[in-house]
Amino acid sequence: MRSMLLAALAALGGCLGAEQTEACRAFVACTRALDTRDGQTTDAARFEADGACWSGPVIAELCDQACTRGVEWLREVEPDLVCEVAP
Amino acid sequence: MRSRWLLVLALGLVLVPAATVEAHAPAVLDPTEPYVVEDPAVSRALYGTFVTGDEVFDIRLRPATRIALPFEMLVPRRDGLGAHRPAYAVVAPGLPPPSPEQAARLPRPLPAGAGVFLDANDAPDRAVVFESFLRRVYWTSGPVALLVPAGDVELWIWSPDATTGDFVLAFGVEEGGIDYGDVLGNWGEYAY
Repeated sequence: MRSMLLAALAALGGCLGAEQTEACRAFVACTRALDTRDGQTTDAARFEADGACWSGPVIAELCDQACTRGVEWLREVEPDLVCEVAP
Repeated sequence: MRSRWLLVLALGLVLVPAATVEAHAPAVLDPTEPYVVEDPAVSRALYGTFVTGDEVFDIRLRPATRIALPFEMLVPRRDGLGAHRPAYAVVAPGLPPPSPEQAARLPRPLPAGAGVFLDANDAPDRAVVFESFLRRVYWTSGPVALLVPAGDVELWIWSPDATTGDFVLAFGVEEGGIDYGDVLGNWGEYAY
């Protein structure tokens, strides 16, 4: 009975949201490094830990893939950029 | 598999008959005039069709600040569209200048001072995504998160090999209060 309850809660949690992924933590870190260099603030709210990307598993997967390619792109066009990911 | 922006769009279209709902914003692109995006933060699913293959679809936006958004080009996975790979470019001052190879691929010259992000949509293997509510399947160019500069930004969509057929350019994450206008009356533009 307890395991069924835990499984149901886990499933419900999966439906309700997701956690920011490592790729998006890196993408946000790169973005903030650029902001510091350029003296501006990028609206990256959707990729932040409390952003809309993590409102559910479907959009979370999309954001994770987007961030992975996004970091590759930033490192290609900004080779000197240092992206420090906060622990 | 994943459902995508289109799942949310489909839910909004089918389940909510009211003219204004909370969902991603659909629109049909016309190659003869630019499509203006009023609020870049609200996610979009922009539908278009290459009839001749030499059209260039033009989308304009004007972010108030630099904004990070995911972009993705989708093509319905069906017979006859296997070679259809629309490319897109984000064009704006502040983006990196194109390489000579990239410049040669663009459908028109860059405006003075503009740089570019180009997705040629030419990866050997395209992933397939499944929109589970209406059970639509699409090939995807793969989502990419881009930093879109503030100011005047253009998105160009073209067909490098002059193939014809449908596409959807999707970008953004957040939903907004959307006026659906006559979407249901023009359902054939959105469904296939």
